[in-house]
Amino acid sequence: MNLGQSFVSLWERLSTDVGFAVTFGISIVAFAFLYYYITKFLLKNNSGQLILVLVAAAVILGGVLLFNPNISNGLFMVVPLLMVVIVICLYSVEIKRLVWAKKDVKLASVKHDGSFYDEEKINTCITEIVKALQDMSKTDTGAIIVLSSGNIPSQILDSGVRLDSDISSALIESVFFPKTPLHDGAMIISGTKVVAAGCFLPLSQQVDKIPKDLGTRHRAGLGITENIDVVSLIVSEETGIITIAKAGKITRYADSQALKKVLVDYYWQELSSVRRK
Amino acid sequence: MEDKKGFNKAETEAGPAKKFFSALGLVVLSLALAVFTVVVINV
Repeated sequence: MNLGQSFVSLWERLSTDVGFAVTFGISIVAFAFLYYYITKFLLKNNSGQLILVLVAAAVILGGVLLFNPNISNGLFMVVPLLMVVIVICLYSVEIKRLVWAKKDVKLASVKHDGSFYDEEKINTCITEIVKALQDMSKTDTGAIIVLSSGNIPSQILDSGVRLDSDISSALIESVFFPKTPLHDGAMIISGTKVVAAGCFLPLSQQVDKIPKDLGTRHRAGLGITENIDVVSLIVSEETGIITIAKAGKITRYADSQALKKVLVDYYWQELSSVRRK
Repeated sequence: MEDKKGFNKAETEAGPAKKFFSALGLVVLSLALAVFTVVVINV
């Protein structure tokens, strides 16, 4: 049977055998979903060229199978399988991040005490954080502070040391003082508490979007904001420049007004979410 | 206290039309590949 006859017989079977037509349609929808999520994931991770290679490989293999009746066409199933395997092997870190970003994952529970509603306490927290950041900026002390809403995965908190302390500029500056054990990791703040310090964060993979003069601290600060709804405040060890990272984007040269705005927005959202509960 | 002042390097967002067509392209590509896969397997 030549290729033309094979297509005609497939069409005849589709038009006469309802069960086969339904299976055919469901298969198309299932494969379309699979390919859609794979290509979307690859595009998100700047791997457009890999999509072209995979599509070209699929077309070549499909052509070979169609024009060679001696090889079973079922062999084409290796294409979607190979795509899944490649994505899992190349992007295991990104897949892990996607899992973390899901809401049903076990998140660190952070209790809010009654004092959280105290406006004066919130103002004190904002002042203390801004003061600490500016002090560290002046002395070129590297620092990274993550403002979370209790949505930091437990794995990240467990990588550091739990503190559960009130926020003060003295505490923040002490933690990031060079040569102290916790100075190299990130400090996690949730509400009016410093939850943990010395935490390791996932690094951003957007290498081309980060200026060359920014190091690992900035990549970590940006990385955590790419998949989790948090804000990172980073002080550069080399230049003392303060950077704000939010939703996978960085804003450099943050002054006290910009910092206050970010902190007010953060505490306003926090307050709203706590009141809704 | 003086702040270190500078400028914001805000990223330019892709327009809604560009987003729509890139999403449409993705759907069309996925559907075409899916149809191709199922046809190749069943022919």
